[in-house]
Amino acid sequence: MIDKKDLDLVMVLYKEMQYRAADKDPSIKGEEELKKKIKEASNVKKKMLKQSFFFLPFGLMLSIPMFMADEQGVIAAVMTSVAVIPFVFALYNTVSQCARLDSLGIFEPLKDLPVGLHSKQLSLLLSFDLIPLLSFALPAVIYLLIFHPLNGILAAAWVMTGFLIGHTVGFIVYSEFGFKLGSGDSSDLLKTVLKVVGLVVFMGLFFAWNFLQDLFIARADTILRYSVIYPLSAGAIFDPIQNFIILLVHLALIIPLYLYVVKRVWKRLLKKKEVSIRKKKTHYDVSSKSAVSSLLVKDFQILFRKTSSLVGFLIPALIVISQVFFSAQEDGLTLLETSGYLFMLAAFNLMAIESILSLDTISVDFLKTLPLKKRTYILSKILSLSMISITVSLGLVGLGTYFDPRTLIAIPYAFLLPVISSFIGLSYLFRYEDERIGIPDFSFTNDFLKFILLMILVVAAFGTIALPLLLLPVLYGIPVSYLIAGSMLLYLFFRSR
Amino acid sequence: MISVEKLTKYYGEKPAVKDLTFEVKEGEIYGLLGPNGSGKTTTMRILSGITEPSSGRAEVRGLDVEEHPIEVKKVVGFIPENPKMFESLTTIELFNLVGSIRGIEEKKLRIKLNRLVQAFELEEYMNQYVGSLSFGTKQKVSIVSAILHDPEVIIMDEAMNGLDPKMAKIFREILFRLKEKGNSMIFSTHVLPLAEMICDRVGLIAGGELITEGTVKELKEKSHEKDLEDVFLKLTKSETEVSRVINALRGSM
Ligand SMILES: Nc1ncnc2c1ncn2[C@@H]1O[C@H](COP(=O)(O)OP(=O)(O)OP(=O)(O)O)[C@@H](O)[C@H]1O
Ligand SMILES: [Mg+2]
Repeated sequence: MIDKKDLDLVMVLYKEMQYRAADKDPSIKGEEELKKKIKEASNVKKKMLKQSFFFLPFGLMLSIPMFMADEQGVIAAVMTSVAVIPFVFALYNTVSQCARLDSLGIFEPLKDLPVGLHSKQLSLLLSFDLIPLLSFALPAVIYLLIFHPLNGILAAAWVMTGFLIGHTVGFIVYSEFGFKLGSGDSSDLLKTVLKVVGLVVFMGLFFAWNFLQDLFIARADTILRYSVIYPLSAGAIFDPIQNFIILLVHLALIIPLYLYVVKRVWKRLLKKKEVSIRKKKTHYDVSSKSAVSSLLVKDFQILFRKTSSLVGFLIPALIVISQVFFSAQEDGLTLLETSGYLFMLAAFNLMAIESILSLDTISVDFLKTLPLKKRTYILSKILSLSMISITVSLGLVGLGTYFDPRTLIAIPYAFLLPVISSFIGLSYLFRYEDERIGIPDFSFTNDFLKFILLMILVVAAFGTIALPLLLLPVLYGIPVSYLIAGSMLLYLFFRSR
Repeated sequence: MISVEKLTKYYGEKPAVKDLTFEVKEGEIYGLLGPNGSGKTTTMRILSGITEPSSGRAEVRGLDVEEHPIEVKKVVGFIPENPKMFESLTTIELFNLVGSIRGIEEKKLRIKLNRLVQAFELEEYMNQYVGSLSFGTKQKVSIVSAILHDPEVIIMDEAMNGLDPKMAKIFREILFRLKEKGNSMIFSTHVLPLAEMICDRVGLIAGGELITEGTVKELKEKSHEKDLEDVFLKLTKSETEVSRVINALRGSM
């Protein structure tokens, strides 16, 4: 199916991708270091092994409850949650890698060449980064294969299926919500809004389903056995025959869909961009703002036009929101619980760094011609990165207030926490010594260790902020906690000078 | 206005620019000529505060480019050889971004844009995405965004690329006007007649080193040639190479 020629071409593309990203990274100094980095990154086998190895401990952590369980119900529940991870990451990675391929323009030189370009090359190219994600589910699957071989095989099949579904959904998100050049007039605004809403609903559907099914698990263990839709079906492996049939139905639906969308995405990536221009309008609005806010506006203009890049922001938000709904449904939300979710949301926002930095990958050379200080640039990125998290946090506070009016006093968290986590993440990535701007090459699945390090830094900071909440009665603890958060932010701000 | 002294830039082990020394005075247009890969772009990027030199010194209006890259960028307008502008912004959004980052007041920006947009005939493209513009129109957008802040120094890397004859003429006139006002400019091109028409002095570089400099007339006298092209080929020692290649091609095509 895949011959050597395909593989060779894909390797060339992959190398090119690494080069274009590394070339913009200001922390890489000189030709030698660049060559080394690219050589390292292009050793695909080694890189995949390394990645898989990094993800393994997290897979282990996820499946520990399974190792200790003696009830099939618990095993099934753990299996369900484990099967979701490859799905979510495959979705995220597919969208972000497609956007990256497009923005780095690595297909441009090929468009004019008489080489056979096939959609399977696209999947192959993406698979280098995708396959290691499977190791999140590996420990659970191996455990099952050893102790419940038949069910283990089903579990493995479900993980692969979920992975394929995530990959396919990622393709759909990219091809339906990506940037299409328009004429730039106001009817585009409406389309943009519709696209954003559409994307939120589309992504939300999966979690809504998940949430409904979670309710079922909570109520009746037996329903689990009859779950017919992924990811819950991944837990129903102890009813092998029925489960096998359900699996076949899933595959019968997803494989043709996959084959269809992969072609569409491939066509999109290869298509020369075209515009339909309606009527010429010569009026234009001049406006001058501060450098930081003009960069912020620019980020959001691009972000909402390339709606698919919003996925980077939506996934962390949706992970938290689905949890919130689950817990709110059970017994409402207390002030403390809402605050906890605000911390979680802000910490997960680190996942979106990649999306916010990649907006400028191509045009950083243009920005370099302008008198833009690194600090100004970082500040604008911190604000861009925090903005969506702040919006979601405010919504969360609103929801919390509905259950417990005292939650209103948590509003400052909605602003402080996302800014602090963005500040820590971006100051770390931009810590190179040079006044010039650049784009650090960072992606949370590819530089997972770095991501974990950032997470640890943020969790440490958040732990300090949360301490008063745990030690003092809530109403006293909160002001003290704000005091700590506020001074932390001031410290970060002045240190960055 | 611009002074370059023993400027050297290494990429790895190979120098892209080596011991380059020259000056550009107030109200002067200096042409940078040289074969492909001779170091013109590298030199211009260093002078615009974008790339750091490996050694040597370069000053723009008394500002050291290595120590004060941001200050340098404030007084320089740089037109790159292939501009990488934000394709999903509209032209006006891009100009607003540039104006804001450069700290130009709204009123001033409006007046300035009004004039430049008219001069470069960009009105109908203002609300169109930059990514959808034609090559030459993109070049015009790049030019306008580089001179929006009335830079005292303009550095142009093949800036005439893609401009149609009418636009090229208008742009030339603008350059002459700026020159009268005392602005200094560096202009690189492979179109020698253009260099002859525009530049007060030219510097010829090859392999990152300055071979010779002077007015076009001086260079012609020095090398006993009538045509700038022949001067170029003679001084960059490409003549024998050219005739060898032509002979080889005769045999094969
Ligand atoms: N980013 C880079 N990394 C490594 N080498 C580079 C880089 N940019 C330029 N060079 C090298 O520096 C040398 C000079 O390149 P430069 O772009 O300055 O030439 P140029 O005179 O502008 O050529 P052209 O007329 O083709 O535009 C070349 O040998 C080139 O390969
Ligand atoms: Mg050049």
